[in-house]
Amino acid sequence: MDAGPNRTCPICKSRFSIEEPGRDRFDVFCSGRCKMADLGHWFTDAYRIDGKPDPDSAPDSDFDQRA
Amino acid sequence: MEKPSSYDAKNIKVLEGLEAVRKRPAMYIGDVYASGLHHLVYEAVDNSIDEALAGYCNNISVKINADGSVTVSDDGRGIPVDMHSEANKPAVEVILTTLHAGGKFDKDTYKVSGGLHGVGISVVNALSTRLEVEVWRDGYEWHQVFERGERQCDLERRGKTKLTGTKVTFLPDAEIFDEIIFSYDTLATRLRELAYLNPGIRIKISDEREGKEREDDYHFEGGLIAFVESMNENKTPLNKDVIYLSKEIESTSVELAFQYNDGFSETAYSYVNNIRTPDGGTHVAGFRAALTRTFNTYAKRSNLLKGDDAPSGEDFREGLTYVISVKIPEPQFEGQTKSKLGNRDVQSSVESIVGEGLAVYLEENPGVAKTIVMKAKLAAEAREAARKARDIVKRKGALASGSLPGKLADCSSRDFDKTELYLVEGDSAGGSAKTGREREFQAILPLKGKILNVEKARIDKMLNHTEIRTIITALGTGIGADDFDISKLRYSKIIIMTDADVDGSHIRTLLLTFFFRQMRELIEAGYLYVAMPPLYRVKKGKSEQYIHTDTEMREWTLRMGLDGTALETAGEEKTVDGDALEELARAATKLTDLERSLLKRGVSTQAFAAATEENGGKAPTYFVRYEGEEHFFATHDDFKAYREKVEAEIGRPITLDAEAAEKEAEEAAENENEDGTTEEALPPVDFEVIEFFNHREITEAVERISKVGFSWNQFFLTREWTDPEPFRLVTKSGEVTPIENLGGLVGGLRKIGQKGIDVQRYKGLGEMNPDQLWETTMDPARRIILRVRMEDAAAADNMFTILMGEHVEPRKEFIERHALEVKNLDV
Repeated sequence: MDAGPNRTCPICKSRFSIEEPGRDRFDVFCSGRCKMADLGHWFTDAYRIDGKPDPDSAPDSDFDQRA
Repeated sequence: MEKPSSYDAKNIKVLEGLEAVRKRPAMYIGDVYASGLHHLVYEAVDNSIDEALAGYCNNISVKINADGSVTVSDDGRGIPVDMHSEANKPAVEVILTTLHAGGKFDKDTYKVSGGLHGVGISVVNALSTRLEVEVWRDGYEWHQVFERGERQCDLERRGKTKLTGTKVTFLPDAEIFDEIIFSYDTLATRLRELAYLNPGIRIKISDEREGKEREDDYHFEGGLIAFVESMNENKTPLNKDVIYLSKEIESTSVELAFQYNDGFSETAYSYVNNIRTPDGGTHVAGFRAALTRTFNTYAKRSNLLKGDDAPSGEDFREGLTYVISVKIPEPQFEGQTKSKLGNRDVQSSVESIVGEGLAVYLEENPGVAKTIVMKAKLAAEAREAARKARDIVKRKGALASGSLPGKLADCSSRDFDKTELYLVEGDSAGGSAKTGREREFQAILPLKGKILNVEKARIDKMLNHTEIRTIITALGTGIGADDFDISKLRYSKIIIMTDADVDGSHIRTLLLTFFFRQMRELIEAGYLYVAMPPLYRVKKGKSEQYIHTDTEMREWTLRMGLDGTALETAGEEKTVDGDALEELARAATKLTDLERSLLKRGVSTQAFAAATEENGGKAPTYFVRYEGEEHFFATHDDFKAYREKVEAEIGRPITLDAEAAEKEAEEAAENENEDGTTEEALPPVDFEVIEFFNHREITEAVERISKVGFSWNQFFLTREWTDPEPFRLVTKSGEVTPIENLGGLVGGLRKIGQKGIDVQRYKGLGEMNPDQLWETTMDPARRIILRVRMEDAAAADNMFTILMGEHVEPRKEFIERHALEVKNLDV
């Protein structure tokens, strides 16, 4: 079986293979270190999903102006 | 008071005879076990290395002889044989019989010198049953023998030779040593190390003992660079070329080589005058300090790091392999085992050499510099996260059970199997949930999940750090590699309850991703759920219902439309109602779905229906488009026969997969025949095949239609404008809806169903009062909750990655496609 790298660690961007011993298909990180760094991101508000413009503070011109 | 008697040099009894060495051997060589035994060889080799460092020796050989003795030889200048004026003996005899005698104790002979305790070869002599020295010098071969340090003969001059060098053979004394068997591997390891530390010198080692014969030859022009490369051999380096710095400041010569790999451990070897210093010391401290300072300065200036969160030295040494070798005139060793360098001035010398050299390297290699800084930054983040994770666990322990977060409305029961924790989006829904819940078993934790992004005037979705902490504390499990303990989980169901809109879907994605990445055991054990609040409340007459999905909504309007409605064909020839009409409507729905999928693939439904009819109501399995003609085939055999017919016509087999066919054509063009010609590149055959995997279902639907007395053709009827409507739907109140063909049946029924209904769309949980929330979403008897499987969580993680990503286009598309999709979650 080809065990070439088939996943990219979201933290350090290194490639690893889920075929390696001790890994499975739900493995996200290349290492425990990167898993910890990910936890660090949750602890420091680093993960955000861009939201809608804030209706209270955004200027109107930014909005869809279809009549 | 009487004057004390004088106390000066003449009072000091100097016992420097070799008998002192034999009396307390451990004082000179450390111990009388394996380490001390091998030390004898190193002392002898050190003399040769000294000659090499002074530039007079290129080859050193160490041989374990068949009788267990060892021979160390070199091609240096040879130990002096002329008469020593003070001792009135040949110098070589003085060196071999007097402690602390020899060139290494004279700063002018060798600027730097090895030898762990500087005891010299005389110690080897004292601790050997027999030692023979041969010197080639001054045009002759010289020879002398000793036993237990005592000379057995005068230095003898033998024949003429132009060679120079020294050869010492000795057998350690079994009376002194526990065991006198040398280990080849132990010696080889040290000699290999010496060869790395002294590039250019060739060191050979051989074993001539019966059954143990072997030899090795160490010679590394690359020196420390080769040393580091060999240590990183099976690792992935971050900087391809080993960084090498070397400089002499006053009498301190510093040489070091280092390379980063993608691992996490620090591999370090440090030496002073070729002696390994396992506990480091001032040279290592200087290197470490300069490394941290230089990287941090560079990173700040290049804007790779912001603020005060500078990685520490430990972070910059993650995945670092280095060798540092200093040579100084008078090393001072510290510590119990004398394995740590103590010279203060060495630290500042190393620091300035590394600081200067590394700064230049980083400027010249910004790519490598960035990779290393980013790695250190991650290391720092991981370290900090681990600290915070421990902190959460510790704080919770200190405050016991009364320390649950203030926002949590806990349940009163502690019966694990029955308790549930709702993670609720928004304070207002959280408030309703708190009022509406069953207090004994249901706990509520409201989450904001949003933050105002002042800079961009947006409301971003995020779980802020206090919310993350609150979740961890409420769950009770702790977090992180060492602290997560699922057996401490406080609830057997963790239920994510978010609004059925884009914001809600994003918050759900964040939560699922967090649990998937950091608490996957929770999902694996089946403790994580997603609540399904209703999308609509619909009312028609006295009938009222909550509807959770759009599919359910379509089903409900169809059901309402079927209630009491009859289908009449033109001229009232036939009337269908009740179960028969429902049967017809369901089969029609199936065929409408098919029509959509056919349309997408460019196949006419009418042609498909005609082929089905022709085939006695059996739907075709294959469709082929070839040279502008379209063919349907009912069975695989029919399809195969046609394909073979075409293949016979064109004279070659057809590769059906478009990609494979193209590749085949390319390869044919590249392959050279024996006569040098290439095959004619045959273009892929334009033979399109569509396989209908759902043909059985279609056949069944067609059968169902015919059972109630209709045919598929009636789905495609078109009427002239003068004709009456072929079909009419008549409701129980007598209202008539004309429809053109059966294709419009389901739409017509839904339209009837929608008449007079009151629909309330729930945009958010907050629009429901506490009672409604309980009824629809929280009451275990009536609610729908979906257990999150690993696949679902992985999909959420994937979506999260895309949402976080920098590729705007696939991101936008993905958001639009999946924003409201909950249907991937199975109960």
